[in-house]
Amino acid sequence: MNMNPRQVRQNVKNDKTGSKNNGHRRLNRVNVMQLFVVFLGIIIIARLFYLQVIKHDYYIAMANQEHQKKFVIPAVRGSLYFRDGSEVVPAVLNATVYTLYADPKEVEDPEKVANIISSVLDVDRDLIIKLTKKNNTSYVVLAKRLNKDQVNELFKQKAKLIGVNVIPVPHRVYPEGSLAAQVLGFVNDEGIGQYGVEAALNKRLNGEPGVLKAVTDVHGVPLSLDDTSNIAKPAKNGEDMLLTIDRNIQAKAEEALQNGLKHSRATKGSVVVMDPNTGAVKAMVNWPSYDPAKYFDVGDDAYQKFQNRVVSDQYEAGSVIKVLTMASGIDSGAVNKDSTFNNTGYVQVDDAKIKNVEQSVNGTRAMTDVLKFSLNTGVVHILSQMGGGQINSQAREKLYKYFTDNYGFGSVTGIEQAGESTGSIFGPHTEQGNNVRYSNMSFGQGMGVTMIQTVGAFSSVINGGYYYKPHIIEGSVGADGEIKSNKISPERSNVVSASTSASIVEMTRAALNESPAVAGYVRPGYNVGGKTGTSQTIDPKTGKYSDENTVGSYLGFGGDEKPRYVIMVRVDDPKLAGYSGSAAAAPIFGDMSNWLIDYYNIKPMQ
Amino acid sequence: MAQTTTFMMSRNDTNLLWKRNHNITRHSIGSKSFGPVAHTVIVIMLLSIMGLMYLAQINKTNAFTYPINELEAKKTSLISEQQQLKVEAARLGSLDTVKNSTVAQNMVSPADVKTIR
Repeated sequence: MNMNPRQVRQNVKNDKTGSKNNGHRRLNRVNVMQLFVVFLGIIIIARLFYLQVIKHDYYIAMANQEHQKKFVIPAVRGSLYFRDGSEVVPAVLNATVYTLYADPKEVEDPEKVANIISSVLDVDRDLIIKLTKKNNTSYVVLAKRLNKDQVNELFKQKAKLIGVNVIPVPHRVYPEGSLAAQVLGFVNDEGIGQYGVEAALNKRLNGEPGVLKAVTDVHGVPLSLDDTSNIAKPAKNGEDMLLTIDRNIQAKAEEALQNGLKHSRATKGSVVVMDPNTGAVKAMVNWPSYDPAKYFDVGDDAYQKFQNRVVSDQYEAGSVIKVLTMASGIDSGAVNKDSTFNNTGYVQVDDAKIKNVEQSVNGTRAMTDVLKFSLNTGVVHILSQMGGGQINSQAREKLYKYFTDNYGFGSVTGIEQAGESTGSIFGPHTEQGNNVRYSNMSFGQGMGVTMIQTVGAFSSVINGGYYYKPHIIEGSVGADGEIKSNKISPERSNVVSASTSASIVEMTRAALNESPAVAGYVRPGYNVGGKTGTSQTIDPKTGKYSDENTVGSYLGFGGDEKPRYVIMVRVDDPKLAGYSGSAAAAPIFGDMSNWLIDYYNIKPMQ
Repeated sequence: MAQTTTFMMSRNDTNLLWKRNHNITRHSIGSKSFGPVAHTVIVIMLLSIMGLMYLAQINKTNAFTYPINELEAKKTSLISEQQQLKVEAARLGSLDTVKNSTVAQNMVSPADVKTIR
């Protein structure tokens, strides 16, 4: 068929655009391929959009997890220091020990590993075999607290210890051994302070660990890439702290208490020595004690040994409280130093008959005799005088106010020790806070106090009437060894008037020096005073006070023109004839006081 | 390289366009410059050089990480040693050590002291 050029062009055009005659367009293979490529492109772009935009954060996190690692930079726990006179000596330092562990899946020959380890360390060979055969774990601890020499010795045969390794662990070291164990406390395996200063100031001592989040190489070594996702937050080390404890006084107090307890065959006891002019605790001792470096070896009575009973154990302190009742009576104007009363040997308060222990001193007696002979009737007389001649709500309110607001009974002192007890004292308008209760409270029965509360209160009535918060932290030690001492100021003034304070000093001095039972324990001629206390304890069988188990206490001071130290001694369950306050506690006070006179170079009275 | 060519009658008389044989000689009068391919190549080369320099720098920085880590490890070891020495010094100065020292054991108690009042 012959076509003219025009017809040919029309046919070609029709082929390209498809037939117009049958009404729809026909796709050739190229068109299909083009559409397929476009479609594929759209799918790829959509997928890329999904992966790179929508799932961006997810994949970034996944990638970071692969090549970025987070390292915790441990903070160095703060050290603790004792006083040694004007010097500073370490009490608790840090060292590195090692934990030996194994990955049982990696250990090829458990018996060989056990042989090597047991030949170097004092460990049970069979236990090592048992541990290294565990299949369900990849981490078993084989030994703790190894020193560097032990690790070096052990890994001399490194090739044979496949699957066994060590990790360094910070460890507390106590250069003075068990000195002031309960005051210091200890740090457990999790690095948390337990008991004493370690628990009370755990946060300050612990510091804040730092963080290093960085891209690492295949071996996990951080690379210093200029990557904004790298984070380096340095650790903030814990504070180094200086304690008010003087190691010499502490050591002497421990020795005096142990000798005293041995002499009186008592089960336990405590001593606290405080500077009454600052509230700084110079020694705080409890016996039985423990070695904080081996806290994990303490047996069943661990809780009893770990506790600092001076702050955590409330008890009925007995007649030592008479000094505070006397101060309240004199300060409130109810009585004065020269007041007298008729001592009949007993006094009837509601349905209770309160008797004196000493029955040979009946008759008219001065206030000094109340302390000297420890007359219960005398302090009940003071209480009645505070009520205008009878024991009533006014008397109770006044005594309660002195005991709680002025002396701080019933609330914690805030000393930097864990587990401080508030003590217990019944309010004057409670059912329990009746006349009989308050009469008992006037001589230290029927209310719970801690030794630290009592020492703080006594210090305030002999130092001119200033209450200083009992404390055990003197300040912090800088990196260069510079000491930053905390500012000391009285928490309360006018606890009692200055004249009341002077009277109490004089009366307690007389009570000690004129009491044949205790005068012999102290060096004569010095400004030393104090008061005994023997408290009955409640027999758990009968629920009543019993003379079988008593607690002996002695609360006193010593000094020159002004008191330099206050000592309180507590002896539980002594087995000596006589009253435990004078027979068991007073000798310890005397031993300690005489030593302090020399230590402080105190001059005798003029 | 781009080149512009203009055909003319003579080098000296450009106005004589009407003359015969005016197209027989070609003269180049434009300045020489790089074309698009050359530009692309140059840019790629520069980018490559910059990339290499960056990599070299990064590698150099990273290479410092290893001696830094070694020094850090050494520092940690020295701190540990210092701690150990501090502990040892403290133990040597502790009350127990002093009490049990030969010097202390050779000491004698002082005579009774009396104070004149």
